[in-house]
Amino acid sequence: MSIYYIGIDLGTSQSSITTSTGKRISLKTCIGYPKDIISQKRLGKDYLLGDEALINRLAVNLIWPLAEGVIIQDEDQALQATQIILQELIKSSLPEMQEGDLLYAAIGVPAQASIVNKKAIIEITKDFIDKILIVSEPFAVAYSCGRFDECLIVDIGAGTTDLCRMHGSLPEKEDQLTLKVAGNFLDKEISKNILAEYPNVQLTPKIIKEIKEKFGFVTDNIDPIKVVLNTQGLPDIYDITALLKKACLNLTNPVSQAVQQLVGSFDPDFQEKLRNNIIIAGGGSRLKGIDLAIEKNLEIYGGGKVECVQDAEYCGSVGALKMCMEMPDEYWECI
Amino acid sequence: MPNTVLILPTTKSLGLYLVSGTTLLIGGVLVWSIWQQRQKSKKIQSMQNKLSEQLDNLEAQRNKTTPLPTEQNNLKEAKASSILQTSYQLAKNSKNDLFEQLISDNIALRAAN
Ligand SMILES: Nc1ncnc2c1ncn2[C@@H]1O[C@H](COP(=O)(O)OP(=O)(O)O)[C@@H](O)[C@H]1O
Repeated sequence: MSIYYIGIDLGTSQSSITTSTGKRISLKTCIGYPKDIISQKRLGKDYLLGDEALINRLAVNLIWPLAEGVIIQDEDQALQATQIILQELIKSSLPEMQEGDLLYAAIGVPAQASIVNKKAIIEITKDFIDKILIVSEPFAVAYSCGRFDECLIVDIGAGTTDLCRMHGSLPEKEDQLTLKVAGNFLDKEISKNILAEYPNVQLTPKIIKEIKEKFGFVTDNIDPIKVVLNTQGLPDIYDITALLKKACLNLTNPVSQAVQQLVGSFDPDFQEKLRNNIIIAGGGSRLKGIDLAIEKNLEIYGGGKVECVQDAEYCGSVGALKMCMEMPDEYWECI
Repeated sequence: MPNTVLILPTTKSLGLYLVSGTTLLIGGVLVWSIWQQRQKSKKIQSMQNKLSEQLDNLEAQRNKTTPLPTEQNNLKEAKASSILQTSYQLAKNSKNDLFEQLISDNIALRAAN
């Protein structure tokens, strides 16, 4: 009998797993059920996961079970979807697990997940996880960076930006702040700004996301950004440099204000330390120049030091795994 | 014999003088810098020799004067190791505190209605 440890980051748009055997996998947190018998026959499966579901989105009913940062309440389908996603992540990352082996897991969940949600996760995993710890995602990020003392984690995800003050103990409610200004908001801003300047171009959520992830920036100097877009089926080149920056600043400005809010309401003796230890995580941390832009915004409050995590995709699951493996056995015995 | 050699344009001969002059100058500079380099490395070598001699002397002296472990020294060592241990223990304890909080949080979660 062997014990396997896993860390999972259950994100609103993307989930990832890191195992004690050194494997890591990530998956879009979505599932697609065939729309009808015909599409079921064509797809040959009861459901599709992640990118496969997205590619076939016209043939499936797409469900993002954690879209709002919480499991959609009273939705059996959302619960079942979350269960399938977790099971799939485990199955594909630990194929060597055998009957009788034990699985210990720490799962990072969105900071604003309710007690009901967390309990639901324990419930739906009880058949395939032997011991489970639920932790809030920013805490898992802090753990992966080895930061338990004064620091501020800013996790910019798809649906929400979660800010969390760390000060050597588990964060309390007043240490956390959640903003709706995050990746999805930025998509809308970019789309709005492009259409305001070029009203006739054809945009889809996929095109917007690609533009954001490839070109999104908040730095001062950058080469002109020109993209090919269609107007009534005819491709043309459009310069989006200024409007893209304007849209991206609409994300970084409120995030900087929220940072200041959490710093300003902290014990004055430790405010400077907090201000100088700001860590940006989540997919949004990949926005070019975001660290410097937030530092610049903090100048009027007395400055600050901001850094982005090295590995935005796996940082949360690595932290959860580290926590799992470092926890002494006697603690595991208690749950 | 036609005196073609004698009627070389003056600019050409001036150019020749200049080229040979520059070659000589560069050659001179090269020889000089190599000589400088040699001198420098000789100096460094002698300094290194001196230094290792001094170090050997120092080591010999220290060997002669190493005190027998006294009670005071033992105490100092014990204190240092206890400080080290305490700081290690502290780091471990603070992590264990976190684990304790995490576990009690998770137990409370299971008990919540
Ligand atoms: N290079 C990038 N620049 C800006 N945003 C990005 C980049 N890469 C990913 N994102 C955005 O980050 C968000 C996903 O972040 P993630 O931390 O995975 O979210 P969650 O934790 O909510 O699942 C998406 O909105 C995605 O478009």
